[in-house]
This record gives sequence, C-alpha cells and structure tokens, in this order.
Amino acid sequence: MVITLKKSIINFCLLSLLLLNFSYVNGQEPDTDRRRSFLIPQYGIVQFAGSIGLISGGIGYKYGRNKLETDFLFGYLPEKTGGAELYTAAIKANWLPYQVPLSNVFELTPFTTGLMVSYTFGNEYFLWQPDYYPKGYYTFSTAAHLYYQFGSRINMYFPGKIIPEASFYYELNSSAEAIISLIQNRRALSPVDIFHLSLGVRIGF
Amino acid sequence: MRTFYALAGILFLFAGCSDPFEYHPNEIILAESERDLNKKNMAEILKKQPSDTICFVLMGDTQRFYDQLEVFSKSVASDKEVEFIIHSGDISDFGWAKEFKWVHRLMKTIPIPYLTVIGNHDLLANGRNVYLQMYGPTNYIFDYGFIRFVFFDSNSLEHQFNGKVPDLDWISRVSDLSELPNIKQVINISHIPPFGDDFDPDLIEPYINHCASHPNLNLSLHGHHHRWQEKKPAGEELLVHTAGTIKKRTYTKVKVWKDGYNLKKVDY
Repeated sequence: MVITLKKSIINFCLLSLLLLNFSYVNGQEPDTDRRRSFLIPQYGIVQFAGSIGLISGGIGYKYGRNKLETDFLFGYLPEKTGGAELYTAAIKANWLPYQVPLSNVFELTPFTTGLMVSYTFGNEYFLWQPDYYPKGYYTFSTAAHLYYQFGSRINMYFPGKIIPEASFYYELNSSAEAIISLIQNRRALSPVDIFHLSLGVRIGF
Repeated sequence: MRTFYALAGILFLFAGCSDPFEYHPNEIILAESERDLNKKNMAEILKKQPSDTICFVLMGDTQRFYDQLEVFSKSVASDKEVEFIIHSGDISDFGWAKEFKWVHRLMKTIPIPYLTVIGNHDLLANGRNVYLQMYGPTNYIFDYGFIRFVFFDSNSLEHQFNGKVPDLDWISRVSDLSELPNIKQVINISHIPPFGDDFDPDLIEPYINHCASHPNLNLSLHGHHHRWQEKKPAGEELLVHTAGTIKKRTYTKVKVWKDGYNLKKVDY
C-alpha cells in the first residue's frame, strides 16, 4: 500500500511539474502583468483524503481580488486502501477572506471556507434514481454529493522562481447528508463523526 | 491570528481521532471487530440455553434515526426475557459504511446480541459489499433451540424484479426439515414483506404457497413499511407481519413455543 501511495504521489508531482512546464513553454513569463488567458489555470493541486479519494489532483483559478477560488479535482481511491476502487470528480469553491503576512516568504490564510460538489463514477452510483423505481422512491443521489469545508493555509512566495508560489493547506469537510444526520441526531452523533480531515498542496504557475 | 489558533486547536483535536481522514463516503474500511457480525453474534446467542419458549425482538429501519436507536437500546436492554434482537433491514440510509458503523456502535451497547437482514437502502451504492463484509451473506440460516430462522434478501425492486430475489429455491431447500429432528419450526425473516409493490409481483404467490404448504412454517416477519401490520394471506396457517420503525418508538416482541406464538407491540 505504501509503495502504491508513494507511486501515486510521485505521479501527481510529475504531472504537476509537466503542467508547470507547459505553461512556461507557452511563454508565460513569471513577471508579466498577469494578464493571462482565462483558460490557463493559475495553480495545480495535490490533495490527500477529503472524501474524493486517497489522492486527488487538479487545477484552479483565483478571482474576486484573489479572495475566491475554484478548484477542479479528480480523485482516485485504490481498493487496497479503501475497500472499493473509486474515481471521483469534484468542483470546489473556497472563500479566503483575509491573509496575514508573516515574513517576506511566508503568509498565513487563517480561515478558508466553501462548498464542494463531487461526482462518483460507476454503475452502482446514480445521479438520479433509475427509471425502474416508482417516482420519488429515492429522493437523493448516490453519485453526487455536496460538501461544506473550512480550513487554513500557509502560503510561500518565491518571486522569479520556477514555482513562484506554493501553499500547504488542511481542510475539515462534511457532506450535506452527514450534516443533516448530525442535526437530527445530536445525542448519538458528534461533529467528530461527520467532519473529516484532508491535507493538500497548491503550486502556483 | 486568533481564528488560526482556534482552527489549529480543532485540527489537533481531529488529528487525535481514530479516523481523522475520510477517503470517500463509499470507502469500506472496517476494523476486525466490525466484520462478520452475524456469525459472531450467532455464536454469542448459541451460548445461551434455549428453553421451551424462545423470545426475540423484531425491530428495524434504523436508517438515519440514531437518537431514536439510542432510546431503543436503553429501553430493550432491561428486558431480561429477550434472547436476541433481529434488525429487519435498512440499517443504513445511503449504503455508507459509516452509517452501518454508527448503527453497530449503538447496537453493541445493548447486552443482547443482534442479527440482521439486508434492506433496500443497504443495497444502495456499494452498500451490498459493506453488508457482506460487515454482517455476512445476505441469505443465511440460524438454528436456535427448536427453530430454524431463514434470513433472506427480498429487496426485489433493487434487483429490478429479475425473478431471482428472493431466492425461492434456496428458501425451500433450507426449509426442508426431514434430516433435522430437533428443528420443529421455521421462521422466515426478510426486509420487504410479500405484499405491496416492492416484492417481486411474480414471486408473491409462489412465496405464500411455499409458506402455507410448509407444515412447520407459520411466521414470515418483515420491516420496510414502518408500521405494525398483520396479514393472513393463506388463512390461519401463516402470519405475515411487519414491525414498526425505530423512529416511531415501537418494536415487536415475539415469543414462540412448540405449538404457538405471540406477537406483542411494544411502545416505549
């Protein structure tokens, strides 16, 4: 399992580097006035856990005076680790209300929060109940889930370098279904049951 | 900065938890103590000495009703007559392993062992695999005293009415008592009762005929409908019963002796 995990991490790091080179080769000089094409992602992400796989990777965009971000992620869970082999796509939006500078290099984002929508691939999972069920038999989706998340980040800036910025983050997330379960069962369940930790890295392009 | 410290504190708290990470809601990561529970609990029940009258509780449809299950667990725990509890299915709501784990966490606080049968909600997503690993086969038998309990998957709609669920061949095979001199009765247990829309319409009549023609089969016990129901589709020979839901604070206490039975609705 450890070897698989290591391999996955290495693969994703290589992928991130490739993406990085791609944008560099395309003439994205690091110190231009950042008027990039809207389609070119601004950062790459590698994440551990977080309800979309053992490991997930993706790209993202900043907007709204850098206070808002949207990530596009794809996650993989190997059967060996998770008891089920699962592929999941997700769109995550975060709000970063403020930053606290720590030094020339380091900066803290004390609080991030947002929502995520995920979609699990596979025949066992339905977006809407299949036709063979009577109308309204299952009113929820087993493939798509909505999540709420919050966390913090440490950002690092290396102006003029190949990787101009990087941040490490953690998030605690819970699905809407689990949050409803907690609200309806405040004696038998606790927040620790429904919120889960994820760790990740963002690399600025 | 204060926000950061507060969050870091919460993070620290979570990191100390046994399962701080969730890879996926459909992950199936179980501790050894969460595996093969039906088998383990059958062994636990067999440590008891069955008498002339066997007493068990039929409850079910726990789904998302954890607080109500906690109330049930406290209520039933004090009943010394009850030898075991049967969960009639719909353990979970979304088929997630964590839901099964939450239910087990509450059920194991009761000093009475419990057995389960699979419900339609338990078959959602990869819930069937969760059930197989956590509880065991979806069709199984349990002999206790003079009774053979036949547990089976009757969630026909989930299998798109393929004609194989419930597995009537298997049911009639295990109901043959000719080589079991100590077994005097058969009790059938499944989630969806043999009436209504969700039991395979082509199999309702064959199922009822099987039960009615069996000389030692008088009880067919179920859940799913979330209310107490008693039906006699083949005269006095067969009682088909559905237990109420844990949500409405009700369960069925069943007593069976060699030539009779009694079903009592318990509200708590």
